[in-house]
Amino acid sequence: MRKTVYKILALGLCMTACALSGSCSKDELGPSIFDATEYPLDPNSITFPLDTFCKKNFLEPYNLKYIYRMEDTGSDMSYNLVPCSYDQSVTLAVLCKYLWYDVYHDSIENGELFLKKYSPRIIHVIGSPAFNPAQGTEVLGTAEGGLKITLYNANNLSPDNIDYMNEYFFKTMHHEFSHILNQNANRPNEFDRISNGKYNAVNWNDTEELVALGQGFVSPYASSQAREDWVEVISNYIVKDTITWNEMMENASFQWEYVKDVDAVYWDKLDKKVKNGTADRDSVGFFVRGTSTSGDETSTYGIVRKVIQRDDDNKYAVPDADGNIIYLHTSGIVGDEVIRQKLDMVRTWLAEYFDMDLEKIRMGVQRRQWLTDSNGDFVFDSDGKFINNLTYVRADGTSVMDSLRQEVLKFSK
Amino acid sequence: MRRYDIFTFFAAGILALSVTGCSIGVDDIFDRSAAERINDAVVEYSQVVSSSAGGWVMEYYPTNGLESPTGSGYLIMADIRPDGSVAMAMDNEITGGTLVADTSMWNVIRDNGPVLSFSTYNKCIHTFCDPAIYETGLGYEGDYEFLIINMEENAPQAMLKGKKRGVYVRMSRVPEGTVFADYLEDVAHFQDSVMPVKAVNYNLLHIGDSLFRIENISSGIPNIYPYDGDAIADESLHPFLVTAHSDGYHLRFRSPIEKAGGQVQEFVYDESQGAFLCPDKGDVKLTGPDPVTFFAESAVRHFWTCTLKSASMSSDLFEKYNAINTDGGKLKDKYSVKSMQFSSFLKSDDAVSLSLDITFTTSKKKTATVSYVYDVAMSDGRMTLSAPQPKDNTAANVLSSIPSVTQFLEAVSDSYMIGGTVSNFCMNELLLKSESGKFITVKYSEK
Repeated sequence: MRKTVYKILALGLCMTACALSGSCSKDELGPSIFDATEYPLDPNSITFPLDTFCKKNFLEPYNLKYIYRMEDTGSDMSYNLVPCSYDQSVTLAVLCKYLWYDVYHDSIENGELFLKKYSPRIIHVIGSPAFNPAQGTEVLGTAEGGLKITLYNANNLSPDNIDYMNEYFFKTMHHEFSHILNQNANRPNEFDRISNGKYNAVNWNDTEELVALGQGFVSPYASSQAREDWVEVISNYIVKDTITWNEMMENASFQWEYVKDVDAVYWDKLDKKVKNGTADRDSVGFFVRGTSTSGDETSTYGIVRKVIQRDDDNKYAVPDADGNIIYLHTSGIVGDEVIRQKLDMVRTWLAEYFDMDLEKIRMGVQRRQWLTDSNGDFVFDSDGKFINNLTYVRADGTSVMDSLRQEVLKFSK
Repeated sequence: MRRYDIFTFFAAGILALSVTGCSIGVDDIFDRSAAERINDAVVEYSQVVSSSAGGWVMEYYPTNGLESPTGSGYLIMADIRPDGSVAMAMDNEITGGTLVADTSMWNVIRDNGPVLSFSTYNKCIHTFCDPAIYETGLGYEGDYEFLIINMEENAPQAMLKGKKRGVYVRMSRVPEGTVFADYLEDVAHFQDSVMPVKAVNYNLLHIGDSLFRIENISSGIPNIYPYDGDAIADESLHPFLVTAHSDGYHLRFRSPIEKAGGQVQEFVYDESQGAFLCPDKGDVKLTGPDPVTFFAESAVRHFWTCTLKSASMSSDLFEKYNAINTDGGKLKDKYSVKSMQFSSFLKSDDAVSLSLDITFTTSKKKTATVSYVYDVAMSDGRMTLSAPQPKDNTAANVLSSIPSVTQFLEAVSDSYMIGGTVSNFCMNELLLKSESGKFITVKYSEK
């Protein structure tokens, strides 16, 4: 009897198993429901020239998608943003190639392989700035997971102004690209310890640029946290010309302070002396950053000034016996030394992990953005300033920008 | 035996469940996958949206707000072309009253359903979305990506919904060959003439027997409240836009107005009636105020100044007006009429009266005003003036000195239809016209 029961039970289980396995076998995978066809670019599309340029110069060699038709699902929905115009997208695309991709390609051995490996997979171009009205801050760019770089404010891109262009775009590109590199190779722990305790993740945007320099940061944003400090050193060093960089180092060699509520009488007195040439501007600093008013009159100023030996009221300079200003480093930090130390670390790290010569990259960028003569030496204007190579009108009446744009226009019908 | 039954039953049950589990099949609701269907929709909508040979007029509102400029409506012309480009134009307060035109790109993207995206910057539509324009970080808060709510081949209109703000945007086809600047100018001219900014009057919304007062219509965000209600306590703001169509000018509110138990949203201008009529709802219309009522109400605190020109008065009245000057010129101080104004409308239980004030100027540059009071009767949209009487002794003396004044006053005594000279939506200037053809034009003036 018991055997019979077992047999029946076994039979039932077998049938159940068969039935279940039968029902599973119906779930055969068919072709994908998504259209995976790779369509050729439509020559009748008005965006065919730029689409073709991007395909040939970004997608095919580096698997990089240059998205200029804004996709708000791919952007930060908490911001109000608008797309970039087509013309500005063209300008940014050719400059991305010229001042970024081509530089890395030409400056690094196996540059193409390097870019294939480390290049972001998406550059998302946004036309407007990304304002955070609540905090009063503006995001210049973001890098996500080593895959995507978002660049903002592209509608205001202007090759006429290299400094502005670098600040908003190319510094951002090198900054975000450096994040990607950092995601592939850790920075040395020693770096994080250099300015440990000085980072201010919350109020970095209230830090004056000169104060940040004096603390050993190349920018206020660098003072927010170590990871930003790391990439800010790289990006600033690459895009800043030598005159600007040397000025930064000079300023960084002093300690600076922001003093608010400086009474107007004191300030106006100094200002007058400065105007008369009877005061040493550098002894007191002279950068007004804010004012408060009483009625219609300015009552106090906020100023940025060097830290020096002053009188008991912390106003007027107290020179040494020879009448020289006594500069102080009360924080114990000498900014330029710190920045140079950080720069050395960055340089070593790039060479070690990426076989990348930072100086070569930098010169590659500089020689493309500033005019050089036939010997490769920089050319200066009558004021001793670099000359914009992008917009400089050559003997044939064209500029580098014209040639770069032609790389897109040549795909027009 | 009992155990045998139980296990037999158990085995049969499992068998039954197993077989049943496989045999029940659920039929597909759709014949294709969601991805395939959305791909088809993208292709279909791309074709439809680029099929209007003359382009579209978009009734665009940045937000659902009720304050200008973010809550106001703006017309944006859009020629959406098959090659992926879109030519837009607009002319409004934000552009400073000048035409702005720009060409950019569009495409229909796969999103939460098909979405029409104006995907590269255009000076027209993106002005309403740019965070660097107007309020930093916010801008006008408008949309440039729209869910396609309704878009059918050859349908005269399509309905979109802003993806971020959720504001409905209607697009209407415009005829082939339409010049965008001309279209916008035509609509602006219509609005300026029918409901100009300078219009001093309110307007009316009629829904059956219910009457609503419309104030500030020229702002584009009028306040619509019960006729006997309070403008502040009963405030109800309703942005609208006017568009031109083959059957005339349409006035369409951003959202349906829910009043008197019903909903109204769109009106078509009927020139013969001087009113916006609601299609399919015969008892709903948007009009200017009743001219007789507005004339009388206004004459309480303001003047209606007569235009003393031959073209503004019927010939018999103008003759008698000239006679006053002729007679007055014979007097020692040479009196002539400087102005005439209807004023001081009074309504009591037993009498309604209106004053006609005549101001004389003399050769010695002095002025004097005398008033004559008419009995007034108002019925069936007409106003009847009769039995003019001098208000005081001075006015009576003038009648003795200048007899033609009496003749003029009696000539004015008549029954008049009243209406705006341009439209009943603008009553800055009214025409008083009798059945016999007698007429006089009066202008609204502040006291």
